[in-house]
Amino acid sequence: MVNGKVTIVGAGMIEFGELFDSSYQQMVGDAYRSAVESVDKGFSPDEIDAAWLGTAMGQLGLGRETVTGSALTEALGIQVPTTRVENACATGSDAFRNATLAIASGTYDVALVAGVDKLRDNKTEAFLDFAADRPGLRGMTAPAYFAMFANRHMNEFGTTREQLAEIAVKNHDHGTRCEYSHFNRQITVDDVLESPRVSYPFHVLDCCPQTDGAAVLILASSDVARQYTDAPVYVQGTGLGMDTYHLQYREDYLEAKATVRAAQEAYQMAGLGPEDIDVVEQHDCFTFTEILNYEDLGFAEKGEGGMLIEEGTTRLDGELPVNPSGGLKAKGHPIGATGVAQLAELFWQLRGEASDRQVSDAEIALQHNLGGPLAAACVNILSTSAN
Amino acid sequence: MTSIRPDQWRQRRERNQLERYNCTECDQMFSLEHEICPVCGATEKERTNLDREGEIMTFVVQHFLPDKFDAPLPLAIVETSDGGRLFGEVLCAPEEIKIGQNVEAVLRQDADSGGSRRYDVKFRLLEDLPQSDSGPQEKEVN
Repeated sequence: MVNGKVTIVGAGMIEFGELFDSSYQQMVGDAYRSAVESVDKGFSPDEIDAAWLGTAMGQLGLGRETVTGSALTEALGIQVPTTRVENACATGSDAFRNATLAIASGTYDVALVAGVDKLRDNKTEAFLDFAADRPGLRGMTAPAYFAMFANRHMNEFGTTREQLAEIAVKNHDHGTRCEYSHFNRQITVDDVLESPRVSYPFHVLDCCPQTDGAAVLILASSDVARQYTDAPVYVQGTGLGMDTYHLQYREDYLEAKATVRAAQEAYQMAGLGPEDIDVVEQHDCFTFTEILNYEDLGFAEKGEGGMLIEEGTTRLDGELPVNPSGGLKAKGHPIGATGVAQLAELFWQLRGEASDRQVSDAEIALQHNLGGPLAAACVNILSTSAN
Repeated sequence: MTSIRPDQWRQRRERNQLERYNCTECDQMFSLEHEICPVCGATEKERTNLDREGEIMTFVVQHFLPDKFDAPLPLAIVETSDGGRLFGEVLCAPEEIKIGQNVEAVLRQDADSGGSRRYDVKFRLLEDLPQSDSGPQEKEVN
């Protein structure tokens, strides 16, 4: 069991974007220094017992498929046991989950979690070529998997193109208040619907951008947390859910079982339910995905996700703010860094440090990623108190 | 002289004849590449060839693809009348594609196969057949 035993005591990230002037090592180095400096009572690197590195795209980002934990130890000049984690878009949150479980087991007191990915050193065409020609899936790209779910959902429940566009509008609005965002501009529903088509029903502005970025968290056992800060953020639950890789083996295309399973494990571990959550950072890789996640995380009945965005419930000023940082849509999606950055955002939200995107009275937060062909999901639940 | 990769060689019956394993435990149809049923974990299985007729369960129309593709490209997941699932390109105009459409799987030579006779599953829309007077339709599609 995890609840109450593990805390986050520091967080740092860099501005996400097309960072052509920054190398992989520079990005993680900057995020790391930021995290170290963020620790209230000070932190020295030699206090790190172990590290977890979330980098999904080794070939694109480092020119080698086998990233290895050494990518991190070399970039930071540290010498600790380091595991490289990959679980598609759940890479960063799964790295966090593993560090959490290691501390909860009593094996380590202090752990570093780093999420880093560099997607923009290669032309979009190269990425597309690599994605679109997999055996047995010829012509499929990342948006296409989610578009297949969107089309089925729209057919079954009447979810509309306008509801999808409203997600992008909301998240761009939130993103204008986040200094780390890839995009910093407002958009309208018309902007979305008039942008070029990508994968029906998605237009360009339904899709998160390709981004470079890094984020780092410092975790500590609750036994030693007060050495670092008087306001640690506690991990109450962590869940990881899988589904088959190939869509041909799915029972239906109306829910992401991976999310449902991950959420179930996390809620159960935390002894909490959707009604207890005050603020959410979830995986809006495409606008429709945010709507699907509302349902699969238990915030709306199946089929009614579209109503939540229409009613304004999930806006910053709504009852349940979702993606106050701008989400993947506006903040960006440097795959391995994404989950770690979402957790950093929630760390700041729960400590009242989220400046003009602060959600009032945020005490319990939920973080979620959903990766691959909706095949792997991770959910983490954080709170301001130990129990 | 044409060359073929080991994985393409292994997959020839699956690709060219729609051959599959049928799990004896849960009835799932799955790839010959698997030893164990991907859905229920059972190992007892039989070989079968999928029916060619089916219904579109969902689709996407790809507008943004590398030049070698013929965009806009409709792609679908089809449930065959014997409960299998196939993925492939639909041979129709993008605006014609709909969930629930009846289709027939056909084999078309893979454009990149370089003459090694590898085939991809594609789907053509079944025209509405004239109703016979002799009673209810003989098959149900879920």
